[in-house]
Amino acid sequence: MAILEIKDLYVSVENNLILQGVNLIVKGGETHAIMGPNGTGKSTLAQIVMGHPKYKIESGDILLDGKSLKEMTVDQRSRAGLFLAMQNPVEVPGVTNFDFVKTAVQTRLPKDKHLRIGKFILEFEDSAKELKMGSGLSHRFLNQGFSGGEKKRNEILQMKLLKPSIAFLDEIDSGLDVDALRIVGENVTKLKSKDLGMVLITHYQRLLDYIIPDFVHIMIKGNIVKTGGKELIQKIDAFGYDWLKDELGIDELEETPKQYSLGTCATKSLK
Amino acid sequence: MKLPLYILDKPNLILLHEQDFINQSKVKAKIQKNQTLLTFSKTLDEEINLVVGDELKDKSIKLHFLDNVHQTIVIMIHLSKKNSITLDFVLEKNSQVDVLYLITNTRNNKAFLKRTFTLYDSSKLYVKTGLLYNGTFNLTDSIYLKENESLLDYEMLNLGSGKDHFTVKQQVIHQHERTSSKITNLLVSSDEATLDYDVSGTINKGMKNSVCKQQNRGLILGEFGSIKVEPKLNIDEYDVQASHGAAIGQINEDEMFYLLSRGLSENEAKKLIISGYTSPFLSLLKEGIHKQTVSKRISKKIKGVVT
Repeated sequence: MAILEIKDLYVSVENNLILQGVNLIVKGGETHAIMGPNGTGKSTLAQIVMGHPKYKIESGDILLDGKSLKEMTVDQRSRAGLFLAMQNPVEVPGVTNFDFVKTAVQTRLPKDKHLRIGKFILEFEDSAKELKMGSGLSHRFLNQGFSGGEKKRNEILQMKLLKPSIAFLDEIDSGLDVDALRIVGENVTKLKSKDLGMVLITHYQRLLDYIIPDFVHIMIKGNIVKTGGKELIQKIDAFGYDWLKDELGIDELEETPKQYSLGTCATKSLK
Repeated sequence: MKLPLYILDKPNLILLHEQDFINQSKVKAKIQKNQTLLTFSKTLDEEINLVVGDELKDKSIKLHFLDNVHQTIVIMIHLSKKNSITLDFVLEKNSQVDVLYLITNTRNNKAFLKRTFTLYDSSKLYVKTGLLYNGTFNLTDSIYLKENESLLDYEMLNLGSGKDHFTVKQQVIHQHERTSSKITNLLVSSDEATLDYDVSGTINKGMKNSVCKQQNRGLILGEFGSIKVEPKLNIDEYDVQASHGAAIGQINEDEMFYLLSRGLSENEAKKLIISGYTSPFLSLLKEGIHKQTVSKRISKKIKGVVT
């Protein structure tokens, strides 16, 4: 059973301190939900656990089974059992979904051992079928031309096949219609076992109707300010986060401005 | 210069190299003063292998496909010296030609290739080009869609490494109603290679119901490399479909993070991203020696980037 420990974690991005002393322990078999207003650091937490180079750990530590992740590269963390279902999965044109997942699964095998392709194809197809993902999925380019819902389902497909021990699901419910949400919820719930600890990052109760969490954390201004059970979800759904202002003496819940790219130019030269 | 065995060891070979001319195919060949004319008067079941080597300066090669001929042809241009080649394709009524060009050389050099494709009534041309040359290469492609329902489907894979410099001009001119063209360029620059592309599609006035599409994707792997694409559409008719676009860039941080987060090493991730450019082209090739040759050439070209 895996244990992820986040200890007094301070994280910055471009000199802005985002996480301010986060503490969290996730054990195999547990499902945690992290909720909170926009821009409070929920996604930052998921990204820093996975090792995104954009974020910098100022102090504190992240341990997986007692071993610090700080010196581990992103791919090493993945092979150690971490998984992040991303809010905005990137598109990789020209690389088929099947080739990508096959390569990812192969990385988990010892160097002298090769993936049994026939068995893997069946597993891939069964998993895709359970997620109601259509038969042409394996030949489509990775996330290219996928609808928002398909991209999210594809993240869960990868999670099923990579079999992580600790998984962060970052707003996996955004962009999903009612049916897709149910399918994703049911599939994730099926994956629950003592071998998998999960952290769900979400804004809405609706995902947590399908995936029942054991712990609910509320994150505000870069820290977990309240932890409870399912009753917290209903309270947030009914009253938002304003009631916490009074309870915790927080003055404002402002959103940190984000920079966005306007896209790619038709012509680009690096010279 | 001796040509590599893998090039010569082909059935239905037509060879033009130095002073040699060999024709082991059923294609009718006529050698004139400044031109070699190959006439395809009927469909041949077998694939024709045309090998173009050195010493063709000031000479052109014309391939003439007569009415209703359906033909598959592989053209290997393998050069060792500075060279200038002209190749003309003429597709007559209802002909259909599937041509694969592999352009390679043994050592860094400079070459010019001019290709002209003229398509008549309902003819269809599927042309795939693997431009894997080392050195300086200047390519000019002119495609004339002269008559009703003529169609061009054009795919280019161009990999540059070292100090390679490619200058490519592609122009499609729709000279009749209901003509279609699609150009796809997949471009990879590693090290200091520069790839300059000028892609233009012209639909003249009155050429209704024509379709003209261009798609360009470029990946810059080296710090000092560059890819420049100028996609242009010159449209003088309302009732048409036309689109163009170019997406060029380096491997971005989020793309790399996504692949690494699934357990791929940086080397594996780069390989996979590059394969996103090369695989669509390779998938168009039949299993066999050509595919193996292109794969090997690709590996050579990117060996400084991935191991």
